[in-house]
Amino acid sequence: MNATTLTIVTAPDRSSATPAWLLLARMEMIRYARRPAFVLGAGLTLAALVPYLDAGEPVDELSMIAPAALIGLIGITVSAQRVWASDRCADAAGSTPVPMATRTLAHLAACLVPFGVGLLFVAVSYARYLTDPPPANGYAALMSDSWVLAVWFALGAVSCLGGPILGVLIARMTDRRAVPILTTVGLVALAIVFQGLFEPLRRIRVFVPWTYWGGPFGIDSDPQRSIVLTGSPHCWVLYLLALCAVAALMALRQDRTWRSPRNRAAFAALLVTAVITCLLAMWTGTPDTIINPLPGDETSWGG
Amino acid sequence: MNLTIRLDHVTRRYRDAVALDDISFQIGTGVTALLGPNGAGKTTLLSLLSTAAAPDNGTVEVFGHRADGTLAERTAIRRRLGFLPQEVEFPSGMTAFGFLEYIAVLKEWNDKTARHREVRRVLDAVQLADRPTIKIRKLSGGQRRRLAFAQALIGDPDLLILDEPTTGLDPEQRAVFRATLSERGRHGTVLLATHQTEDVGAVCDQVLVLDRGRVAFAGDVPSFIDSARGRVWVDDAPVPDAVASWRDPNRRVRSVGGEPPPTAEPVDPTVEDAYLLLVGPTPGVEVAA
Repeated sequence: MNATTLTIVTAPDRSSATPAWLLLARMEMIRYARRPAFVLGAGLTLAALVPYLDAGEPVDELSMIAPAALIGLIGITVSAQRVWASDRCADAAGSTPVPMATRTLAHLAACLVPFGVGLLFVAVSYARYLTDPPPANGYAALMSDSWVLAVWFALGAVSCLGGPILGVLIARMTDRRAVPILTTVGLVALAIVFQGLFEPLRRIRVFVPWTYWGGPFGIDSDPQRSIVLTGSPHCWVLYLLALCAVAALMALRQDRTWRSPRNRAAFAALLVTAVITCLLAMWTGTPDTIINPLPGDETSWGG
Repeated sequence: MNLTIRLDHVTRRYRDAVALDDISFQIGTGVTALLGPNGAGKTTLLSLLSTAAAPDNGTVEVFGHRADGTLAERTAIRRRLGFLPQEVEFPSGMTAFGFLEYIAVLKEWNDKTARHREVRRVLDAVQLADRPTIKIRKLSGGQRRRLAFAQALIGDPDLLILDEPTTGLDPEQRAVFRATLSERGRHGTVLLATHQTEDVGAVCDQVLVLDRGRVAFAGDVPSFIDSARGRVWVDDAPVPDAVASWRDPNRRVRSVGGEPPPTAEPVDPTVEDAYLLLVGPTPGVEVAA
């Protein structure tokens, strides 16, 4: 240690055009993008697009599971670990002028990195969908383009945003390292149970993130038949985005300085929005389950 | 003396346990040692001063701002504060430079050029300038402690609060560390919580001793040492009812407190003697002949 160098210091430039939260956001985005788990997941996800570069290859209707699983689910743990790492830095300094809420905001901004990759995946898939429509016996062929886009956007992009935001929230509420992994396992289990394969649970499936809206599920043990489930994916997208906003605000509110009446009102409004959009997702849109082709309609699928 | 810290009838409880019990004192420019046995309330006091916690009763003022006041008041304190916790858990995978740069941003060093210059300055101050890109996990225990100290120096704070800063430092590093603190004490305030009583005698101007949540002593170092004058002896055997006795480098037994036998010779007391007389031996530390 060198005592003679300690007194020659200029004060920090607090009037800088770049606010602290933006600086931290930039740092956290770069650090998120460099996390090996994210790099691997994003690489595998983008690799799933490679077959679609062939003009004759239609988009796989189930391909949205790649970004949801490899970026969204993994993002829960990646985000939580990033938050905990920054907490350790802040703890090392004791109390700093930049509050915890600002760091949380930066971590939430970093969730745009996985979201961007998921969005890219959806954009490329949708472009291929428009130029090379899916087979007529697939579930997507039964529905409008906006229905397909809403489902894919929710499954492929919003999941890449929601998973990391959930990770931020978990890290803000607990420092138990196993919670993000257990949450991931729980979400996978819930998604399997409530995906719509089990008829008694179809009405409540829309509560569950990353569930399915249709696909070649194999009706009555027939693998060549497709199904479209009830509800409105457009409202479901809004519901998932409202959930993301609720989780983000909950994470920010872990810092007591953020618990202002205005933020409380915003939180309540978001909760109401989430409930309403959830109900609309269940009760509007496709009224009945559609199975394509219907049993006995051999001309449309028997070829 | 410019007043930096003022506590007025401060009480802090944890459920039924009273960590700080109606304490009042003032601290000004210079280096002040904070002594006390484990559980005396030192860490609680540091939490209050660093605005991380609020008292249940009383007022804590730092630079004239309430440490439990509005966010603006607490931020005003934090902008002039450097804090080194007793234990620092470093993030895995970060470099020394990355760690310090992140904390510099948290301390509002928003300009990149100035921030990098400041990080290099504190790395140089703790003699880690040649290892900026090394991963923290590859640093030795002493180097990590110096890195933790470096973050407290960012911005050359007016108030430096250090909790057991010399733990893990070798004698050479400790000597340089003392020089650093002495230099800082000339133009700022340093509060040094430590169990190393030799550090107190070497660098501190004032001593504050906490015992069971109360102020047991507050004053300058010579007065503190004088409080033990005439109560420290050396002899060939320990004084039976002494607070503590141990063998000195001359192979004689040094005893603090108690009734000395006629053969005992009085000697000049040290900070450690005064401390032991005030609070008794530290629990868990064997002090015997």
